[in-house]
Amino acid sequence: MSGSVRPRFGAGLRRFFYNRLAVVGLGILIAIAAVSLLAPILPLAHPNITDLAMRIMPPGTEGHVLGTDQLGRDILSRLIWGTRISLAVGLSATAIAAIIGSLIGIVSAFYGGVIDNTLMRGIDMLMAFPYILLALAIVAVLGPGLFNALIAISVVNIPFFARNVRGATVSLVRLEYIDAARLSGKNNFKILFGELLPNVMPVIVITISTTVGWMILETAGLSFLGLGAQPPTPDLGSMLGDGRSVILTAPHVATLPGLVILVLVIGINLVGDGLRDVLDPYLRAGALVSPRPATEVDAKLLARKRAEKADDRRAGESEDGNRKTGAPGGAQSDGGDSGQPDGDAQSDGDGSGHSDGGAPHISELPLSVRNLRTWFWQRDAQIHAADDVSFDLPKGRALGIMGESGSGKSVTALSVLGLVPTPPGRIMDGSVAYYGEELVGAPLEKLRFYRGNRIAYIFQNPMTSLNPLFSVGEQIAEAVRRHQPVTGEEARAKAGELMDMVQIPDARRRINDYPHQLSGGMRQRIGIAIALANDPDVIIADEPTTALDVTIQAQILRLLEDLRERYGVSLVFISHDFGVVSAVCERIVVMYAGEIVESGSVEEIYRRPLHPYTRRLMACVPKVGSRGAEMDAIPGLPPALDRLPAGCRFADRCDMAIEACTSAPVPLEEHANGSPFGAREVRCIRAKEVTV
Amino acid sequence: MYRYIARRLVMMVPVLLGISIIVFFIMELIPGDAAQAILGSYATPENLARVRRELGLDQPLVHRYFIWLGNILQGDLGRSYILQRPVLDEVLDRLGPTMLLAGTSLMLAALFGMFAGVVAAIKQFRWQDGLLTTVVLIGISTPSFWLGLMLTLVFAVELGWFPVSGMSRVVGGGGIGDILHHLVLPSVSLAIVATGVIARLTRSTMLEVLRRDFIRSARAKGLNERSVILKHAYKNALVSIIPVLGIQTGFVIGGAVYIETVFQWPGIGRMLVGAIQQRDILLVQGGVVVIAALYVIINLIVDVLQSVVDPRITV
Amino acid sequence: MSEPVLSIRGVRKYFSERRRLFGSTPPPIQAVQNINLDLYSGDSLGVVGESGCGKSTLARTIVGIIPPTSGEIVYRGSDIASLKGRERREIYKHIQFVFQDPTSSLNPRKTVREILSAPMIELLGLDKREAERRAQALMDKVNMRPEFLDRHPHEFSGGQAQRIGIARALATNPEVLILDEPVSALDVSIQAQILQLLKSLKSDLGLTYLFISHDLAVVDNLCDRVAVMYLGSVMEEGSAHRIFDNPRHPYTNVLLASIPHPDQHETTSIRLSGDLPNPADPPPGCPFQPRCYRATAQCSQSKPALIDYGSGHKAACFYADAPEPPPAAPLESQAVAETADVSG
Repeated sequence: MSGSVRPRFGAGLRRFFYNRLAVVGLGILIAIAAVSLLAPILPLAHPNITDLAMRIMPPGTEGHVLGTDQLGRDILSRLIWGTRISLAVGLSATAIAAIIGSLIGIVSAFYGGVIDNTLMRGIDMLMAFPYILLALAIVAVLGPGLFNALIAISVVNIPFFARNVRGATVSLVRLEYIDAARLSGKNNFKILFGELLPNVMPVIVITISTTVGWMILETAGLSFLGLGAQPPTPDLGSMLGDGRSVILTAPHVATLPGLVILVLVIGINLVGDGLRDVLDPYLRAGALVSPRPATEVDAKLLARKRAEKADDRRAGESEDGNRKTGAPGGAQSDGGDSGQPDGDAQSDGDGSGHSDGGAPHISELPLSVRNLRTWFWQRDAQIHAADDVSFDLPKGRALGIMGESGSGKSVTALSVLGLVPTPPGRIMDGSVAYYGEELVGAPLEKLRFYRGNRIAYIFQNPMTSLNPLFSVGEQIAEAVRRHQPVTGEEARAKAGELMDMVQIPDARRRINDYPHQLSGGMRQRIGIAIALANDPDVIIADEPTTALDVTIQAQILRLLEDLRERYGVSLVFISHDFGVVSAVCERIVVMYAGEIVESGSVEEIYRRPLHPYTRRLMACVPKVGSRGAEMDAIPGLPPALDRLPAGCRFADRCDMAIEACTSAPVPLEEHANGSPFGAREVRCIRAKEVTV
Repeated sequence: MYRYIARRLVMMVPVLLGISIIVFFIMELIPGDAAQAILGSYATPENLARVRRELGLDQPLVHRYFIWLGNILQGDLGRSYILQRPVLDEVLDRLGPTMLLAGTSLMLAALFGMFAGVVAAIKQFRWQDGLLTTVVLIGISTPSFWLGLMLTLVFAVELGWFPVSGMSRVVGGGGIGDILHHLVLPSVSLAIVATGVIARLTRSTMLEVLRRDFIRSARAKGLNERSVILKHAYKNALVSIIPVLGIQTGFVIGGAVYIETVFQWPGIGRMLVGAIQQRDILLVQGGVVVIAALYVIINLIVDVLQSVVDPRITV
Repeated sequence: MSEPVLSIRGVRKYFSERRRLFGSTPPPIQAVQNINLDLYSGDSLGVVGESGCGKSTLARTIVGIIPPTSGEIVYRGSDIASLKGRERREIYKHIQFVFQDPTSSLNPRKTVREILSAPMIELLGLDKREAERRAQALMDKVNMRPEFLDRHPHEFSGGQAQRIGIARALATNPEVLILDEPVSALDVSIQAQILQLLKSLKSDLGLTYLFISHDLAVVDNLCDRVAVMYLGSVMEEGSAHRIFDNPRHPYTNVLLASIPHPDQHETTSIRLSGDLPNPADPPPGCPFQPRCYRATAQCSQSKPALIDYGSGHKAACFYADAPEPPPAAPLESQAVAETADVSG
């Protein structure tokens, strides 16, 4: 077992040493521990030998490097011996509290019921006392002394371990691998100590790392009050206490032990933080890096955009008529706030008539994405989450982006208004235009103007994407107020109307409900209401029905379609489910491993998929009525996005692959004139061979 | 809301009972017996017998507990044999200064801690974050009693800005200005650890909350960073911060023991230390019971605060 | 017909909440209400329904992960519902379970080797060496490379992890597998691989499946018989082709109609309004009645029994035998359908 665990352990160790502060802390601890362990063999004066002739000598005195205290004892020696004692007491107290507390916690969580109740009520009682007070009460009863202080500190800290460990264990006990172990025939003892304990261990270690510091501080505190170490035993706390009486005449006597405590505890806390970074699965996943307000745009791309823009402006000035009529004011105003397109009216008329009249100009498109490339930059890898993605969305149309997880469909959608989290996301190349207005690299103010106003989002999980602490009405009204000059009262009224619009029954009453009081379907209606708040031109719906049941999904899909028909909003609909996409969209873009592999109308793709991936994917979706049919599953897995093959990304799973597929990248090529909007495209060198 | 408070109030009863049981039995652990402890080692046998009878020590344990509990409920915490006055009077006299000190410290800690935490979170990886994180690390690693001494040394002895110690009574003396003057060094010393703990928690909670989906939703609405952080993220962070404020209140009240000793502050903490050294067990017991009861009420307030912030709480 | 391998008889599972300090005890959540199902050797019975219908709870009560509130689980003639300890473990040799989430059902601190050999050591009493030798064969069975035995679960993709979960369930050569949504956490192309694997295992090893899923298409593909659950009760039961081609219960109808399909762009003539009622406070009469497009006064007065309408096709509906009404006109305007009461 140890052999196979080693790589992970090694990785953890590397991560620990990557953290420079933790290494510093470890250095401090090792140094202090080494000195105090070596105390008996170091050439030190005996810590308890008094020499009244040499009372209160300042540091630097001959034979007493750090001076002496009021009984003439050597401070250096007492510090070292005192550290030894403080460390020993602190560590023993931690060990006692950790063992007893963790045991209580793990047993309590595992057995639950009466055992849990009894144990935890007991712990609650202990926690009902202010921390140090209980220790004082215990010392009061047992009498002052180092050992009694140790007992008191241990008892006081047991609740922390019990609580933390119980909390961690409760969430683990619910995990299915505990059930799986039981089904494997393991008894309670084996589950408790074989399955649970190894997984709870990180929590115990983390709790230890946070409490050791306190324990040393508290032990020192009790000694400082004269309730811990008794004279003449040197202990950092009691030395500090002794020094207090001569603080005015000889400040060093009290200052030095305090400094040693400080440095020791800093060392412990640094190591503890380092350990936590390594052990806590949240932190390990980089959880404590908050995303920036907008996705970072690669510096080179940004520079190029700026240059282009400057060129553009010059060109625009010289040949004014070159631009098509639809160009909204936004193209000239880079400040953004006036970017509200007055071009709405122009594009209204020809919005549906492009298919026969050639491609519309970019300035007539509510959304045009060109060669978008968004990568995730990780410490040792670049994840090509979306590569060279292009599509156009005319007014009032619905475009579906379909793909499996990791295909880049959500990243593409979030890139439009810079909502891909940075770090790790970075837009490397490409452009996103709203009626010709460039959004990639646009200033944050401008992005914010468009967000939720002209382009709005509906997210996948309606539970997590609504703020749990604000009423749904408030969250809708907030979107209204951000972009419209209305009073709070008016915004609230608008929120009510929007809730009616998304067919929430009894909206007047529900407006004050909080998200947790609504069902999944109702929550998603709120999400849609927020998206509709400012009559956007484009709605981007990122798997809006995936978290919902099939009957509720049918309701939401119908609602989206109605709204789209009624308000003429353009829709980008992202889903892994061809059926769902086809229910809402006219045109579909199929993505695989970060790239578009095929695009065309729903009909065309359904009847005659050109890319082997699309074809095989649709073949392996079970259908009602396909009773017992053998499914021709696609073998293997999608490629890792940080180690992509040179050629076709699907080649190694493809039954049509030939040598040419793997030698060079395959371009996305126009296969036929498209309808209803955009061409029929496919990224496969053998697409022409496909027959119906 | 009222229903919630009522429910919590009723739930306090078993907690208070539990506390009384713990205190009672801890005191039962005293070697020898309480009469001996109360009268000291020079007591005559007659006196011992009398006190034993008075305390009901000749009764069975459970019986004794109920007598004791009954006395407490009537406000009778016994008499301090050293101070020769009722324990309750002494404790109540000392409660005010402790509350003042602990309350001020807690306020400082909450304000500065949360402020520093939010700033560090939104300036992650910049110098502000580095500076605050370092200061906070030192803060949580400092022994508060030592810090008290050092502050005294620098600001009282060397610079003479503040009095060294010796606030004798809260009321009387030199009015509010004088009290504040006396309060600065002790409350800062006491607040420093709690500030650090709250700042660290606020920072990590803010960072965690800022990654949640609803923050992305808030940004997708076009909200500016100010409302994203202060409205959406901070309120959610409070859900994690408020319980810790409760725990830190316990730490601050406990830590007052050291600070009161360092600054000769006339509060319960110093009283307890003295009582322990002089083995004035009834005084210790009384102090512990009153503080624990107070802490239970504080926790109730914290819970109510939590339910105000978080609509999901319904118990 | 022969005796069933596994019989679920009158199983109920109620979850009660902790009593509150004020007010009365909250009513228990009636997750599973009086379920009767028979599983025959070589059968594959699919249990379908939406979230909250009690299908996963049912699966868990069968293997004793949670004990039923009442009722019997009969395996080969004896009630196993209340077995504990050694006797319970004896049953685990014959009835095994595959979990929904392949990552959370594998202990992250164990190697695949440890995970696979545990049941053989604990249940079959094999020694470690023999168990590990057989673990290699198991890997082969689920089409995984034996080198993977020394890896930890986090090194696998979802589909691979699910193969390990299946291998673990097969370790004791069980007779019956209870599969709780084994493919719903997986991508479509991976889901197809796992379904293929389950099919070939079933025919190779002569397994009997109880397959829980929310996906009608998957169930139709894999199962011979189907039970449709709603709010803790079985609404309809029968062979897959009868259920899916000629559903008798309006709820089954609605489920089928709700599946979006590229062939019918306008999917729905029948749609379901409103939300699932509170399982702690189920509606009177038929549980589906408040949302049903065919409901009449009778439906809210008494609960229809699950009646056999021939060839084992059972339905719990008063109108299971009556012809479908023509689509009502009001369905044209979605406002009417949508504003139907959803107070649940």
